Amino acid sequence: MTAAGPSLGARASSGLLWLFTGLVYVFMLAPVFVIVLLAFNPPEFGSFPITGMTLKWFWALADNRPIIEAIKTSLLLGLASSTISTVIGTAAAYALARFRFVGRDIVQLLLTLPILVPHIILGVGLLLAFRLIGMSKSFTLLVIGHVAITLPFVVLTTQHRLQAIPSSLEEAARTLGANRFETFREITLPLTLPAIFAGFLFAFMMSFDELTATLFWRPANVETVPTHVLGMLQYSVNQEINALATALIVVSVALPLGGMLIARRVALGGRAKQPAAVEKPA
Amino acid sequence: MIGARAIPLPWVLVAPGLWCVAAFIVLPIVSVGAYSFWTRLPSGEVQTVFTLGNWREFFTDPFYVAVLWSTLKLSTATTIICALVGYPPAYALSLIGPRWKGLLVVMLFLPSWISYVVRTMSWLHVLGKNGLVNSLLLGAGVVGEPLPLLYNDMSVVMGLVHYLLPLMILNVYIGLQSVDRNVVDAARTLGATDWQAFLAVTFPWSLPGLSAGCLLCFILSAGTYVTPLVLGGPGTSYYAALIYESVIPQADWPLGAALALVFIFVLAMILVAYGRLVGMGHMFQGIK
Repeated sequence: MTAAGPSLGARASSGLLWLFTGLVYVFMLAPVFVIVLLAFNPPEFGSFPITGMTLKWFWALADNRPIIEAIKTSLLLGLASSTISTVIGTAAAYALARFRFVGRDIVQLLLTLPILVPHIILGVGLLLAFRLIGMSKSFTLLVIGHVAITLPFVVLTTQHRLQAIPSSLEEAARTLGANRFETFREITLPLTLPAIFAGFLFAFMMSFDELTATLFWRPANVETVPTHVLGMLQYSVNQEINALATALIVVSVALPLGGMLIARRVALGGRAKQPAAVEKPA
Repeated sequence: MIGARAIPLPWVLVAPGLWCVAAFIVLPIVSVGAYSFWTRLPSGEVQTVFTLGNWREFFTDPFYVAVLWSTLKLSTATTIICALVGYPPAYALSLIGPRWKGLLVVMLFLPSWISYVVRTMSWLHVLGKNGLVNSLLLGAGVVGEPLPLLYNDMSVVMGLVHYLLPLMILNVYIGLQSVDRNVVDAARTLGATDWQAFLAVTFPWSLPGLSAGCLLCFILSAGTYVTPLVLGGPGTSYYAALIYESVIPQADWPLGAALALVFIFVLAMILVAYGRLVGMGHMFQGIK
């Protein structure tokens, strides 16, 4: 084979690579499309064949008290736990990204390793620890547990973003007489707001989606959205679930996309206020 | 206070995080250890009296070890399938130009933003008796009766692969980013075929990402409770279900604690062995 262009074999293997990749996309996306498609189907049983198109299952969601309650619980739980883990996690991420100190590697490992602990273990462990000090299942237990689960991800996400911001800007502020807190408030915080926001959004989505450990921690009468969906699945797959699932799909796709756009906006806005001299050459 | 002022700032900042890890993760695992040696009275109450009964139950009833073994087998199968299916798309994404890359990456990770329980239940619609696959097969006249695709080990693995594949692809993709294209080009210039260049340069360099992806997939699939619950059949036995059943419906906390501790121990052993095999640094590269 002395031809200059790609050989027949190379082109065939490249074609196979893209064909396979396309099939993986179908595998990943098709089940999601099936749910959305079925949610518009008029018959009450949530399965094929498709016989028409209706929005009635979505309207029915608004009148479904248990679902509304579950959404409220999940929102409250998500907001509470991700706010706490964003505050705690951002402080730790700032220290890890900006300081060299004795024991830093150990701290990094300790704050990261919980990612590898399965949620079923976290679920049993925290429940039993609570029992040990004589406390029973409660909303507090849920919030604490969700903080423990989301914290490592907030630390990693925020630290990763912080490391991408040049520390020369902070050094300049310090040289010009700002103390460490002023530097943080005036320079670091505005620059890192997108990073903090990303950490918060990530934590919120994880909390909203958490199921396995939540099954251990929730009090008997409390349902989050995932536990409620699981409970409904035990009976049958009906159109209520399909409509709720479709609503969740739309929100969980729109939320991060919106978050990305807002983060980009904030980043661009912040940059526009800076003097042109610090603008990095493209 | 003089003492408070003496603590260096970085430690003040990481202290709340470390405290959370100690109180909400380390301490709970310690209390799981304690519970596993305590006595459960017939009334259901737990007494802080030392016993080996929970451990005797685990080791004398072959049922528990059998379920653990089948869980590890299913997780291994899931991990291998994720690696085989996930590598080619990650490689394809690493080759593509910047123009389409963003869109293709977002499309691939879109499902991973969607609720886990929703993604799991979506397989009921794909593999069920009136599901997508059976409707298509019946419609095309390939089969006369719906195939029993759901509620077996295969549908569990299918759901797990769908859940974990984006994670695998992400890790391999990050690993492939570190491959120096110049070295690949150099290998090609020196007469290597595409395949030889891939095997000699690209693949070895992507191994850290691949091994990190495998580790995450294995741990996450071994600890799963919901996927086998929704997609598994009567023959499916998953270890996490044993833990849940003994802790919540049966409220036998000492036995549940012993089961959980065995699981922590087995996973830790696998982690250590795996770390020896591929190198600790490699394992954590993907997480960072």
